[in-house]
Amino acid sequence: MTVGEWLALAKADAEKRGLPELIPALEGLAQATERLRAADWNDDASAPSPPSDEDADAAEGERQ
Amino acid sequence: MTIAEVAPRVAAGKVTSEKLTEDCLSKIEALNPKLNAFITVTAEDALARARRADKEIAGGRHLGPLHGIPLSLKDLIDLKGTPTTAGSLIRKDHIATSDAVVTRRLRAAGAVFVGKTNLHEFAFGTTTEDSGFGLARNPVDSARSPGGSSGGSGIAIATGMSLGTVGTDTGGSIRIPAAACGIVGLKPEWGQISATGVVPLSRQLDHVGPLAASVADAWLLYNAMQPASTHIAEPPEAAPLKGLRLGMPSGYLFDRLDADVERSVTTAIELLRRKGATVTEVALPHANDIAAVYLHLVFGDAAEYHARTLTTRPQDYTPNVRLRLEMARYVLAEDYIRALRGKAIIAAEVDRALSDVDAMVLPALAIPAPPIGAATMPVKGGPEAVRALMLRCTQPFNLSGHPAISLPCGKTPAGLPVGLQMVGHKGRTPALVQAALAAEAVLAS
Repeated sequence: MTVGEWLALAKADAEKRGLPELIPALEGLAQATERLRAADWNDDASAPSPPSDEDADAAEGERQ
Repeated sequence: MTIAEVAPRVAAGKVTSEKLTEDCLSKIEALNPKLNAFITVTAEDALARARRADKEIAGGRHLGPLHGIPLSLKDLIDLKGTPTTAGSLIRKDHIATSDAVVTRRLRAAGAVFVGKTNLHEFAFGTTTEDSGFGLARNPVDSARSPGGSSGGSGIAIATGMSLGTVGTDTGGSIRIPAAACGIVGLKPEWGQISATGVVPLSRQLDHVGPLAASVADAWLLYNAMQPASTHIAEPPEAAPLKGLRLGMPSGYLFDRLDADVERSVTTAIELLRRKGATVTEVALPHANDIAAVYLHLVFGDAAEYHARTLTTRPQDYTPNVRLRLEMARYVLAEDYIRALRGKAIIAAEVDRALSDVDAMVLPALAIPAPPIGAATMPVKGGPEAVRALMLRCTQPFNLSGHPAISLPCGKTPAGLPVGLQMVGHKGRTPALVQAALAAEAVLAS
């Protein structure tokens, strides 16, 4: 689910449980989660595989 | 008074363990009502063991530099027969049935324990303001926090209530109070010191280590907490400053500092450079992702550990810690996995940053000890949340697992201590200590 969807569900759950004071904290966590999901190490199932170590070595050899 | 100074006098019978222990207990009696450094004081047992230590030493059975030395333990660490409260009413009726491994090793070295120190509840905070046993106060300015989560331990050393102490560090909880209280705090490499018998916050980030009045004392405690087979007999000598290669991480770790902290730390680094060290810039390309990675990992781990008691006894937590634990339960598994990958990447980047230097140098704490109750503090670039600032410079090395030490490097105009952090290579904690000894000698003068 997107962070927006997660936040909406989390806020509703916090309200239902009688913890409205959680909501500002959840908004802060959502910002951190957005940051984490934007990081460049995250997987993408549609992207090509990264070069294997063997391929990297072969490419290095060709360059030399 | 340092352990290194007094230990030879104890060994020679010129001062007794009983006297040292009585002095610590007197300081606890005088100062603890105001500073609240201790949750449990084990006066009777401490004096009994101190007298036994004196008999042993007089009989020619001297166990080493910690024999008869009064120490304390953060109240996350089991001491047989006493409560391990974790600073929480959740555990107020708990009694440890055995010593933690570190406790056992320090006992084997002849140490005497005067009590268990106050902490931020379950180590889940950096100011020791939220404790089921009352907040703790900075001994330099009692309107300010001593840092945390090992705040009570920091106070104990700064005031002489104990001559050494053991804390834990998940995001900075040894180095933060060390910086805030003007003492030394060593976070060894992850896994070097056993955490068996220590209440966890996040097992993959938790480190156990000493706080002490000097780098040499920190070494003595660290060495004694290792398995006996790996003890190093001779304390390390200071590394020569001439030729010591220091790396200063640019950007994130220096860009949101209090002006006085920045001045003290950069002045200290410049002094080391003038004494012969070389200082080069190093980089952590993913530094801006560190806080998000840390948050998701510590939240996921803490949520699991506290799941049962959050459901059955939420009212027994302090309100702020309860709120954060409730929030932690909302972290999704896919985001926890993302954070695990980020942790590995950051660890590799710290390794790379260290590849051409002997140690990194940076602030231990971005701000001086904050006022109790402060939510934000002014730093370069505008006000920032206290929690974020307290963790900013220390949490990278909990993610990476590298050894790191905080030592005093000056004071603000208001007299508040500032800590310099040095970070070393994995597998080479003794070399980090040697570099810290060299820095300490220069900075103390």
